[in-house]
Amino acid sequence: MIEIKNLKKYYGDNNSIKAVDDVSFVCPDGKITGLLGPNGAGKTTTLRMISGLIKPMAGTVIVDSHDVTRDPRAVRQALGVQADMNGVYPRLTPREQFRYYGRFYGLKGKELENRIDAIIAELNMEEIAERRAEGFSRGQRQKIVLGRALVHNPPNIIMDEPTNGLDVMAVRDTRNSIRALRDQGRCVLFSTHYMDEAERLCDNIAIIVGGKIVASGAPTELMARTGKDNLEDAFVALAGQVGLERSEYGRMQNHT
Amino acid sequence: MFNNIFNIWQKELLDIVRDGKGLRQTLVVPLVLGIFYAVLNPLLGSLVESRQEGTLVLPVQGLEYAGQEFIDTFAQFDIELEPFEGDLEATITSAEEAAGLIFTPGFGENVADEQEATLIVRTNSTSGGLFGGGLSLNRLELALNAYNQRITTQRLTERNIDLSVLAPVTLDAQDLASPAQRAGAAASFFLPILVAISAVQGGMFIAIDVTAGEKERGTLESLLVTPSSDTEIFVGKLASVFTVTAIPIVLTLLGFWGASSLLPESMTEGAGALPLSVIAQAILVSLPLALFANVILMVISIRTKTFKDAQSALTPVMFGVMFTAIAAAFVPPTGASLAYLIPVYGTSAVVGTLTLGGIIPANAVLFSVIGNVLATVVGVILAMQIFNRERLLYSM
Repeated sequence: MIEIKNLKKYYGDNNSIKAVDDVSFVCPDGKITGLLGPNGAGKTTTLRMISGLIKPMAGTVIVDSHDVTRDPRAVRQALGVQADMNGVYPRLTPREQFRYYGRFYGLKGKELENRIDAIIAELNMEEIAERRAEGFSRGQRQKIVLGRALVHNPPNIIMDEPTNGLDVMAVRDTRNSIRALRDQGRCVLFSTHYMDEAERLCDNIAIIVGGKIVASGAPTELMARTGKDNLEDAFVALAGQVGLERSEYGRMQNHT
Repeated sequence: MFNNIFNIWQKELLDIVRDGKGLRQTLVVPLVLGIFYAVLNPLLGSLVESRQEGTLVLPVQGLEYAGQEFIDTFAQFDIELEPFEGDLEATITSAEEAAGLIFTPGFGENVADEQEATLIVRTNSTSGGLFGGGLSLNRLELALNAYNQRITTQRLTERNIDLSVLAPVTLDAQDLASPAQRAGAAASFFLPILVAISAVQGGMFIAIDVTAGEKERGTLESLLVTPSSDTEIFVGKLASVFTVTAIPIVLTLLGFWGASSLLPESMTEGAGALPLSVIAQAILVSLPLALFANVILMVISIRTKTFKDAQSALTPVMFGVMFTAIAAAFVPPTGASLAYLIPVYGTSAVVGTLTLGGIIPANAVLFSVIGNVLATVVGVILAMQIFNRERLLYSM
């Protein structure tokens, strides 16, 4: 389980840019939680603070009872992160990449190889597992990135816009993988700006706009709360004035 | 801790071995460079020698006034005087010829009559390139001196004056340099520069690949979210860069030594190759330099975003190291100087002295090692300031 409380991160002169402003939400085990927001809303910054890449100015992140500020190593051990910059090593095979990452988590020998075999089977990578990643399609590379995040069998998974730039089949594969992770009882937190994706996949959604959580709950709850019959309309209604003021467009208007 | 460092080291080496370009730069280029320098060294010597020993044909105007004695003296120096028609000065100015002589009418007769005799000598030291005009002129000067001396001797003899009045001091000069020292004379200039270049060039590709390359590929963030610490990541990467740098240094020096050993005696004048012990010591004192160079390369590369950016940013490092090594060759430290502490400079001076077979001051090796190690420690501290997760991410 991931618990985020009053998380803050400001940038710029006199902390004028509020990238993440007092964000709180909970991601339970066995559920998919979506962090939904437009570009520049603060999704990536929030996820980076959860994974310990960025230090929060204030607030706490607790992952399975470990505080990311006090015990970042334990948090990383409990997390599988599919990062925003999701590149692969072109000269290594997927199996070698999984082995490289698995060793960071203390896996070795037969245990590591068994785990790699399981990941390869789970992500249907048998045909490409022993080939160097140079020239792989985006979908195939995405599988490597996901496999690296899962190699140590973490109870919590974070994914930053996992379907961004993928073709239809790869998007479908990725969404199926996310569902499978949830069905295995893991806590899955992923960010997206695709409304239909959030509506289809998420058990819970936290809508973030201009660094603030403006609403959270199950997709059906959010739609009921706003009286809309789809998440996109509900999002627009909930983001509303706050969204306009705190969006990149709104910030530009305030400066002019 | 060591598991993570070892894991990173192992992965980076596998990565570089799989990369043809990186492997070429790491293994093949240094080996070729070492052999190239080893061959170039005596080759230049042979070139100089052939210029010094071959027949020199000198264009002359007014050769009929020269007199047989002049022609005979020049023939002893293998200088052939050839009559020239046309504008001799223009020919020499345009560097078509390195030198030419113009005898004024009655030159030979005036010399015989002990009258004033004028010989016009025109030269162009740039003719024939580096090993052309300069060398020809040296021989011309020697021949002219010999002719002067011959005439002077004749005149003194005719007057019954003892020839020793012309040479109040008898010189007994002898070059006591051993063949090995003579072999090292040129190498003492080339080898330190070669080592310095290898220290930078050898690790450059991988230093960029493990820093800016990670950013460009988009793999850095995935690495930073693993439980490994910043220090483990940096040290693991540094270890791989150092390994890949140490190999070319060894290869360059062994290539140099191997090629020198195989060269025919005619090229090395019997001096032979440098002793292997000198090469081994040069390798040992060069490794701390390599470590220092690696840290500098990594500190600079970390701050860049792409491979190309890093390559541009590292070019001045190559020149800086090269110039420092050249400075050590021209202005080496004297005695047990603290100057040996200066990174690159100290090592280059030690390698140069070793190559020359000279006596190294007791503290020189120690100072050069300490200098590089201290500089490495400072570099690592600096790198760790930069190599923290947040800074790295926001420099992407």
